[in-house]
Amino acid sequence: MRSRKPSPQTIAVLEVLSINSGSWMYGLEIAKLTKLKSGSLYPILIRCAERGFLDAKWVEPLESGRPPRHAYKIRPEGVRFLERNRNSGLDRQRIESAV
Amino acid sequence: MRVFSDAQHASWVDAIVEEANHLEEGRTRWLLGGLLSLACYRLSREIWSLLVFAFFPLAAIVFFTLLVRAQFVIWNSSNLLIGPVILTISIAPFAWQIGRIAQIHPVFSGTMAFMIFQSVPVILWPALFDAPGSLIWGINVKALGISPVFAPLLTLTLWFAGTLAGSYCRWRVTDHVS
Repeated sequence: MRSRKPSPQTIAVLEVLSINSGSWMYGLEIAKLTKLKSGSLYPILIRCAERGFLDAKWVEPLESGRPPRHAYKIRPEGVRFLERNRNSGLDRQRIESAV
Repeated sequence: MRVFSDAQHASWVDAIVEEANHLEEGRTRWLLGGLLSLACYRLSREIWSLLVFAFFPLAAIVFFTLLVRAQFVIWNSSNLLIGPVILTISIAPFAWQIGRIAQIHPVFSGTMAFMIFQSVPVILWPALFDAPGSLIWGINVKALGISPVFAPLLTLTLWFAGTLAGSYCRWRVTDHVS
């Protein structure tokens, strides 16, 4: 398979998920932390899920009467990919401070 | 909503919509951005299938037109049946290729190819050749003793037969490999 250098946006999404690696995150939370619009975020999430970098599942919300939400969690393959392609610590520092 | 994505990514459409329900403002922008990006993602994955549908019927038209122009030179048989018969079956290789390549049901791919094949001359012939737009098969079937009314039906049948045969060949190959 062709191996392309990931975009800074993809790295940012994986960074956010790796910082919260123990918990599931919603699309809105990731969008807020990465400052990505939905039009950029979802293709990245789909590609990452298809390449096995993250898990996705439907989660029942805590409040009753609300619809289930799609949540995402980084996988070890995603962490390894992130470590191989991380450019600098700048993004991580910014995201960590935001989290 | 599901038209924005293929069946494989349908849950992502639901994910975008459900996430929008948790937004207090900017819901429309979230939905539009997310769904349009999914549509573009789908297009980028299916572009080759779409090009197949555009290419092969157009190639069949070019081949057919060249045959019409060359028939008097090649087999010099304007009064015999062989010319119209060759012209009639000239779309078969193109139909077979579409059936072999396109990853959708052969009836659907045959219908799409037929529509492109029939509509392009109707639209382009008047503009290119100053000729009246006509269904490309009308003249041939008349020579075969068939009413021109049945020309589109015969053409559609040939496209179906070709795409079904191509699809069957692909299925046989895939079956043997797996």
